[in-house]
Parts: sequence; structure tokens; C-alpha cells
Amino acid sequence: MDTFTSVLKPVTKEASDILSSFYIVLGVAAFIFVIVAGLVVYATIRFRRREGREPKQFSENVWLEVLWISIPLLIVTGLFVVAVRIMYLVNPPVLGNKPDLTVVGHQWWWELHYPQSGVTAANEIHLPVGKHLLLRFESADVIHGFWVPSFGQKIDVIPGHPNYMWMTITRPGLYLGTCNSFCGMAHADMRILVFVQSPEDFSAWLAHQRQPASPPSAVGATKGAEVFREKNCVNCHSIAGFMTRGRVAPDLTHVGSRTTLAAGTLPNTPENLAKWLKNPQSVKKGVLMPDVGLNTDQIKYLTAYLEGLK
Amino acid sequence: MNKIRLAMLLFVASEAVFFILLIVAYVVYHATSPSAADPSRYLDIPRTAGFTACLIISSFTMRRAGIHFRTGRRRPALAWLLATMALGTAFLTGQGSEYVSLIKQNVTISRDLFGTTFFTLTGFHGLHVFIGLIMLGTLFGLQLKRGVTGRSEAVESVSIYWHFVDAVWLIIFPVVYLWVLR
Amino acid sequence: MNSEINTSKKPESILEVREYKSLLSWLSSVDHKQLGIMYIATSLMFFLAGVSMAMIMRTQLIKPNHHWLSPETYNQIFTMHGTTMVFLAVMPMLTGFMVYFTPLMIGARDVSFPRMNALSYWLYLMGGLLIYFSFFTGDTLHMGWSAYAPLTSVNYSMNKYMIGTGVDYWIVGLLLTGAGTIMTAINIVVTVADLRAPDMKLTQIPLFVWMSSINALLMLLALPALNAALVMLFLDRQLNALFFNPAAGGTPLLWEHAFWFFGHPEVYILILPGFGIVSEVIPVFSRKPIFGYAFMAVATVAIAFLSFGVWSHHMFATGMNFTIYYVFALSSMLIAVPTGIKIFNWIATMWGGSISFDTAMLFSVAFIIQFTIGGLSGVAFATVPIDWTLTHSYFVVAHFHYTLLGGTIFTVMAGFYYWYPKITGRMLSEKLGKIQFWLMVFGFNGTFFILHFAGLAGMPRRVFTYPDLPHLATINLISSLFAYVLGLGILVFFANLVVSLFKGKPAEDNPWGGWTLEWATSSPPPPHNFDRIPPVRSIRPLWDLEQSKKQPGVAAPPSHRGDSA
Repeated sequence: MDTFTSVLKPVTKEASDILSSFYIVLGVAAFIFVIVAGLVVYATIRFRRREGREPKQFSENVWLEVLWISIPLLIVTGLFVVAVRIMYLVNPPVLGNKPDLTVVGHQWWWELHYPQSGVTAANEIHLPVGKHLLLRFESADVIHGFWVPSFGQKIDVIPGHPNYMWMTITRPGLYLGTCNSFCGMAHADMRILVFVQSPEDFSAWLAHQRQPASPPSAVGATKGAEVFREKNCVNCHSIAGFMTRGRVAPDLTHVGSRTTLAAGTLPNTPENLAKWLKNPQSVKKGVLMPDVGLNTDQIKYLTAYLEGLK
Repeated sequence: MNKIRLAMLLFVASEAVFFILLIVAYVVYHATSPSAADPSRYLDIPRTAGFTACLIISSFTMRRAGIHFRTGRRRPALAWLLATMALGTAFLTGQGSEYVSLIKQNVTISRDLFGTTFFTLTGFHGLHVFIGLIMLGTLFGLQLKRGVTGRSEAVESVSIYWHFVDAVWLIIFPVVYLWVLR
Repeated sequence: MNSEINTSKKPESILEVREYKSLLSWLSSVDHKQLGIMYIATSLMFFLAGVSMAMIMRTQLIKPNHHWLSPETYNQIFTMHGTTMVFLAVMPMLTGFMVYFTPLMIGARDVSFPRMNALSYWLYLMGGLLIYFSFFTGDTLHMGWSAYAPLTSVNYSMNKYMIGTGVDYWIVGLLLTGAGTIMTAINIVVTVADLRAPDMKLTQIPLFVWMSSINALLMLLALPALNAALVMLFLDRQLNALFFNPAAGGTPLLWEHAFWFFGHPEVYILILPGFGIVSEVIPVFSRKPIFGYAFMAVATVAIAFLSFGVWSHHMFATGMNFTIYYVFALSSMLIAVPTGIKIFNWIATMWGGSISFDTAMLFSVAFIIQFTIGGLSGVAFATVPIDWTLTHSYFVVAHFHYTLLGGTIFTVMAGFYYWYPKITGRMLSEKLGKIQFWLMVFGFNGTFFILHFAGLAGMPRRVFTYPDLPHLATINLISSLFAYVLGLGILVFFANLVVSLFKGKPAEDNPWGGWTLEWATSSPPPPHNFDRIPPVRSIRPLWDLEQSKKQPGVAAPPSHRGDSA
């Protein structure tokens, strides 16, 4: 599966448009730099101090001034026009369009809602390729930033100020991103994963996510469900079809099917999940999940249960 | 070129920017967010108009004081200065009583955005009036002891500051008190 | 003291000036020269702290998934690094030069308000110490120097490692230093308006003085915006006010607007005096007058004016109305033009000259090239969609270090090598200077040029570590290694400062053949600055004096007594 994280490898129409404007600016910048640096280097060589040379004391030339005012003025005006064109191309007005995905930023994880199908998920985004998608961004606490470099633009995720972004993704793959606006202690551990699939695969994924949680089946999983109940995990985490209440922490209905834990910072394996349950702080310093005080057996059972929630 | 007057003008320009930001915060919030409190219910505009008048008149008394200082008439100068201070104090007293009545009605800086922006804006204005009173008092004390000389750069500068403080109120009053009447 | 007859031996260095020998003379000083030195010395201490933090940061970032520092420690360090460099190191360093040289360059004895000058310095020192005191509370700041609400305005106290009381120390400390800055601004403007030599017209003041005056006006009008923002933040934190509280109808965007309304003029405050320094150094070492004086002056005013109209370009990614963005994109593009004017005028000054590559000139030339790079990456950010992609990434970190380090700090170094002889009476070692220069050029460019690519490769800023994604490990390793080279260069600088104070070659009145009035007195200047001031008929009084001496039979106009107020 292709995994890109670079601005220079755009996978959305919008990112490609933006990148083309970047290359225009880069070209202009390189041109100007070569002139400036060239003149400076030439001057330092040609006009080195040599014996017996009294330099002519000229210090004014209005035509030169006009030249190097008007040409840069033209250049920046041209760049401004490029900017305006691309802005409109990349982010047309939202008007009455309904979002395909609402992302809610939390300290330090991403809550996901697919309004049209009623799916709630967390951290790992799935999107269909080839469609003109509208994403909406809200924050539950502080300012976050949503940035997948291959998708081009970032958008700030601001409490009280929902934002929107359009995107048309042109190739399937896994695209990595990150929270991009300093949001507190674990800002560096707030990653983004976007799985871009064919429309059929995406629909299948969505349909699966709509299902309630699988009942415990693995060894120890039933005991694990009990641990979940006893320890009141539901005060923060919900599992559809089993116990739902809290929404301040990631929804765990299908946590077993995610490839990572802790907002993209830990591969989802039973060992890692156990490590997390034992001491979340040691994995992701600052995380708001307390050390619930599970003993080894409880961790074993709970891990079995959660990993079974595919 | 009077260096002290120039310094005071520059300082006043700086303070103006400070107040502009607080006023903008008030205006933006008042215009865009429905405040839990309906300010017109809590503000006693006639009373505020009363102590506003005191402040406006105090600018005139300050001007008279300045003229007398320049022409060396000590007694009238001190009298007009005292009148300015009295009117300034009346303003602050009025503002204080307004704060008391608002707090009694549970309008506080933390209750809603009106409270936040109102108390911050008028509070800093009141603080500037208070500092102005200290400056006037200092002028009064110095002139009482040392007597008037021909030059009165200090009086001129304090005068500029006082007029500035009045001018800021002339913006705050309509924006905060009269606008709620819409 | 009778300034006409100098009966005592002129002090060879500042260490021998009688009036400056006691500690009390420094603690109670209202002499702009002592205060200038105090500003510079204090700012160098903070600079050293800031550089150390930078070295620690680059060490933490030297490889991916590095857990040497905890995130909370790193977050505190990058916050303090930014705060220190902007408010406690660079701004006061420039202020020190402004305060020291403005009166000298206009032929004055001191500033208009010497006691207020002293107050400004002590407010700076106390404010700075207060901010650093937060380290002792165990709860120092960790929010970035731009302190965005609501991270800073509400105490998300479920986790005690979240934002704590450090922010309050930061707020009060900055209110103190800000008050000092506003007072300095008033002082500079009034001094230049009031105390110029009797025949020095405003169109004849040196460009350093011109740029310092415009800079002072910027300080005067930008710092109060910061004060307003800090006040609102303080009220939100302490009295539960609701300025930035979205649930109550407030908005974090108000903080961003208020902060950046200050913040953008602030970055011009951080460069204009540097432009002024370079505008003095380049002509002297090219043996030609500055090219396009009038255009340089007007361009400075244009930059100052425009700088108040670009602030929302820091908010292009916040999802505001496009109309707002068009306005700010245009103004941000336009502000590149007057800066370009300066670059070309500096080059034209060098053109046809007779250039000598003393260290001051080396730093000035490197500055021109480096600042151009920084300015061009700035133009990239003015192109809104590019900003949408690259803001808050290492691309912007590269951009502002090119302008602040490759720009301002290099001009400050030029200023040191140019003016250290005047201030201390001793020359800085040119040999150490050249070593420092090359270490800094390689170190700086090696550290920061490659960080443009880190941004393009997807690395966000303000992260204590990063995953092992393509290129990031290599880029960061190279950057960190070059950072150590840069750090070494800075150490060489400090060594030069100290060693030359005691062992440097004694400096003449005018070791570089400069033409502005500070060179018309001894090195160091006597406490009263001037015994006699040459007549001023252009921006180069000493050049004119020299020329008139070469023409026998043409009587030079009378000079002025140095102590006329």
C-alpha cells in the first residue's frame, strides 16, 4: 500500500493545484535569488579594495529605483492573482452542502462522525477515492490543526468556529498526517491516518462500522467485558451495543480493527494494548486517560475483549 | 518644540491603540453574540449620563486652569485645577456606584460576555482616570508649594492626558450605553 | 567639567573611564552609553540562554522517536526559546544599539529623558527575570511564544502537567518589559525630534537614526496591542473572564487577532534597526555613500505603515472569510516591495565601490543574501494556498530563522564588529571574527536551509519528536550537526567579546573611516559625548569635513560646542 507523507507527492486534486502554485513561486523566487546573489557575489569580487582606486561617489539614480520598484510590484501582483485563483479552485464555498465527515479534535485524539450513515469512529479515517468530499472540523477543547501533507492544505480546528475543507482524492492508499497546531503536552503524539479506498470498499467499511460491537468470543474476552463494566470505562469510552455513555475518549466499538492505537502512535497489537492499559502515561505522556489500576489478569482479559471488537 | 508635550502625545497615541483593541473586543462581541444579559436592563443610562457630564465639564475646567497657569494667575489656576479634580472624582464615584449596582444584579466579569467586555473596558478607562487624578493632584501640590512660573509644560502635558481620557469616554459612552438602546 | 581643555590622559578603553569604574555608577546610571551597554550585555546573557535551548532542542530532534527529553520539558524549552529570543535577547540588543548610538549620531549629549531611559532598562531586566522565575515554580510555560487561547486561557486541569502558572509569570513579565519598550520608543522619537545638532536637518540624519525612529513609532503602536491581549488573557485566567471562551460566545480568534496585530509589526521591530546598521556599515566599507538615501527612508516608512496591515496572514488557515484573506494576501505581497528596494540599494552602494572585507562587512554581505532567502519564503507564505499547506510546518520555522537569525542576528554581528571599538575603545579580533563568521555562515545555512525540506516532507513544528518517515531522519540529523557548528561560532563570538575587552588593539577615534558623528569623538566617548561637533551639511559630516580640509582657501563653517543641550 502506498504511504505518502510529503507535500511534494500530492494525492488530491487540490494539493496538485496548490503544488503547481508552489512551483510558480519557487521559480520566481529562484530567479530573484539568482539575480540578487549573483549581483552580490559579482560586486564583492569586481569591486574589492585595490590600491590607488578612489571610487566614484555616486548615490542616486531615480530610474534604477523606478525599475526595482515596478518590476517587483508586477511580480507580486502576478503572484497575488495566482493565489486568488487557486484559493477559489481549492476551496469553493460550502453553501448548503452537508459534510461527508465531521472530525472533532480532542486533546489528543480525533473523533470521527460520518453524518450520512450515522457512523462514529475514532482516529483512523476512511474515505472513498475520486469523490469531491466535504470535511467539517470542530474542536472539543483547544485549537488543533488537521494536516495530511499529501492532501495539501491544513486547516485549524478551533473551538466554537467550525471549519470546512474540500478534497478530491485521486489515488487509494494510506496517507499519514499529524496535528499541526500546538495543542498541549501530547501534541506530537496526535497523528492522523487516512485510508483511502475504492467506493465499494469504503461502503463495505462503513457498513461494518455501523454494526454494534461483536460479543466477546476469544478466550478471556467475556471476563474482559466484565472488567470494562466494573472499572467504569464507559464513563469515557462507549462501545455500541454493549455500554454507551461517555464520549470524551475514543469510541471503542471496532477498536480491534484499527491498525494503530493512541491516535496513530502505537501499532495495534495485543502487547501494545496491554502496555497501554497498564500505564497509558508511559506510552503517551500527558494523555488524559488515568492509570485505572488494572492487575495483570484484568489487562489480559480486557485486551482479549478489546482486540475482539473488530 | 516642547519635548514633554511631544512625549505625552506619543504616550497618548500608544494608549489609544490599547483602548481601540478593548473597544473592538466589546463591539465585536456585542454585535455578534447574543449576550445572556440584556445590557439595557442593567445599565442606568441617565445616571451614567450624569457622571459623564462631570467628566466632559472637567475638560473645560482643565482648559481654564491651563490658561490661568500660562498667564501666571496662581489662585484662579489652582481653583480650576481643584474643580477638575472634583469633577474627575465625581466621575469615578459615579462609575463605582454603577459597578456596585451591577454586581448586585449579578452582572460580573465572569458571568457573560457583556460583563467581561464591559468591566474590562470601563475598568481600564476608570484606571486611567484615577492615574489622571494622581497627576492632577501632583500638579496641584507642586504649584501650591512652589508657585506658578511662566512655563507650564507639565500642566500642558497633563492637560493633553486628561483630554485624552475624556475623549476615550466620549467613545465608550455611545458604544456601550447608547448602542444598547437599539 | 570644562570640555574645552582636556587635561587628563584620554582613557584607552572603557575599563579606564573614571566615571564608569564603580558598580554604583552602573546601577544608578542615567547615561545612555552605560545603559546601552547594559542593554546589550543583559541581552547577550539571555541570548546565550536562548542559544543553549536551541542546542538542546536540536539534540532532542537529532533522530526520530527520540525520548531523551520528555514532551513537557521540550515544550517548555521551545516556548522559552522563542520568548527569550524575541523579547529578551534580540529586541533589547537592538534597543541597546539604538539607545547608545542615536544621541551620538545626532550630536546630542544624551537622550531627552535619561531617567526614563534607565527605568526602561530596569523594567526589561525585572520583566525578564520574572519570566525566568517561572522555572522555579515547577510549572513553567509550555504553549509556544504565541500562547494561543484557549490552551492558555482555560486551565484544563484534569492533568496537572497542562498549562499552569508559568503563563501568569509570562504575562506579567511581558507587561513589564513592554512598558519599558514603550518608554524607550517615546525617548528615541523625542530625542531625534528635539536634540539634533543645530544644523542637522531631518533629511540629514543617518539611516540608522531614521530607521530607529520609525522603529520607535512601531514599538509605540504595536506593544499596546500586546498589552491589551495580555490583559484579556490574564483576566480570563484569573477572574474567569470570557474573552476567549467559546462556550460563552467568546472566541480564540480574538486572541490571534490581537496577538498578531502586535506580532507582525513586532517582526519589523526586530529587523529595522538591523537594516539601519547595515545601511551604515556597507557605505563605510565600500567607501561610497548609501545609494538612494531618500528611497531608503521612504521605503522604511512604507514598511512600517504596511506592517500594521498584514497581521491576518498568520491566520490564513483559520477558516476566515476569503475577502479578508484577499486583502491580507495583497498587503503581504506588497510589503515585499519596499524591502526589495532596500536590498537593491545596498547592492548599488557596493557597486563601483572599493570594498574591504572586514568582519562587519562580511556579516552585512551574508545578511543581504540570507535575508533575501527569508523574504522570498515569506512571499511563498503570502500566496495563501501555499500557506495553507506549509504553515505550522518546519518550512515556516526555516523562513523565520532566515529573517531573524540570517537577517537580524547577522546585522547585529555587523554592528558589534563596527561599533565595539567605539563603545569599548578596543578592536575586536578580526581573526576570531572571520572564524566566527565562517562558522556561522556554514552553521546557520546548514541548519536551516534543509529545514525547508523538512516542512515539505511533512514535519510539523513544535513536536518533541517525530516518526521515522522518509527523509525526516536524514534532514534532522544534518540540521542538528550544523547547529553545533553554529553554536560553536557563537561561542567564538563570546570569546572574542571578552578577550578583546582586555587584550584588544586600542582603537582610534575613527578606525574604519566612518563619516557619521559618532566617529567625531574618542573611542570610548567621554561621558558628555562630544568636545566639539563638526558642522552638518549632509548625511556624511566627516566626509564633508575631510573634503573641506582638502580645499585650501575654503573656510570650513564653525563647529559646535559638544555640550550645547
